[in-house]
Amino acid sequence: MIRRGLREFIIIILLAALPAAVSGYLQLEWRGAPQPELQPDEVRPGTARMWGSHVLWVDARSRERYDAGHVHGAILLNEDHWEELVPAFLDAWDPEKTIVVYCDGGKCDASRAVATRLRDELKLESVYVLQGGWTAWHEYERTHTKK
Amino acid sequence: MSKRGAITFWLETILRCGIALLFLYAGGIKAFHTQEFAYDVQSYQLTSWTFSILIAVYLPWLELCLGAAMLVRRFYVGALACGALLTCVFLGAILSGWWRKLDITCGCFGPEVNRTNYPLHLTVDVAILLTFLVLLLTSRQHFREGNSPN
Repeated sequence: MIRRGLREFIIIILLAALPAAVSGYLQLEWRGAPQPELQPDEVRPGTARMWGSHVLWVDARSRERYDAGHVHGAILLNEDHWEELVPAFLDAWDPEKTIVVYCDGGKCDASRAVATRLRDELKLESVYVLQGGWTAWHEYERTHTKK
Repeated sequence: MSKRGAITFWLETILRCGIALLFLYAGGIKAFHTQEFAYDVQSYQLTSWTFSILIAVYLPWLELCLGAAMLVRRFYVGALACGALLTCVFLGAILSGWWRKLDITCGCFGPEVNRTNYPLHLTVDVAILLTFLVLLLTSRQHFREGNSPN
């Protein structure tokens, strides 16, 4: 039974490879430039990079995630410890700078929630959410600093 | 067929078809949203972008194939083994994301907007893994009795 199971296992693996190859061929024209549609309040990693020192980065993740790695110069400001963290943010805030908020992935809620609070509660206008979050930024940095 | 045998047969059929349909649904919805799924895979921060793309292209079709194989009982044992192995990989990814407190979407059933509910996903994956193991055990029993599924 083990031998038969192994044989069938390999057949399933190979069977899946055929439609996957066709699907990949038809769908992967975006792979070199993975750019999903941009919302009005979103910014892509490449654009944020271009803004350079005119950006005040806000990390909307947990303290543990922030300590594990963050965008250089980013201020930690998350919803869970808002009251405690907002003074440090206000100290770093500069009206000349554009605020870019990020969280972990492409669809995490934290960055959007923090951006909304910055606009609604602190009445800040130039607030953007980083499309793709830390994942996209990390990948962007990795691919663009390799060369 | 004895009463106990009939109950076992129907229970096995329900489990087999349930898991098969679940995998067909999960694979079908992701097979045509490759780009979004690649982002979901990438957000686990376990693979490079190129490898995430490969997973996003291949995994949905593997789920479709093993779902179909389970439904029609062809290559049945291989499909069960493949499903159990895949579920272990999913469990590992979910556990790793939970451990690192990643705020991401699961990507399990195509493009989602809600962040991953780790305990719920873990419970579902453990239940699926147990189902695969039960089906593997019953199929081994059939094999011993000379009543092979294929």
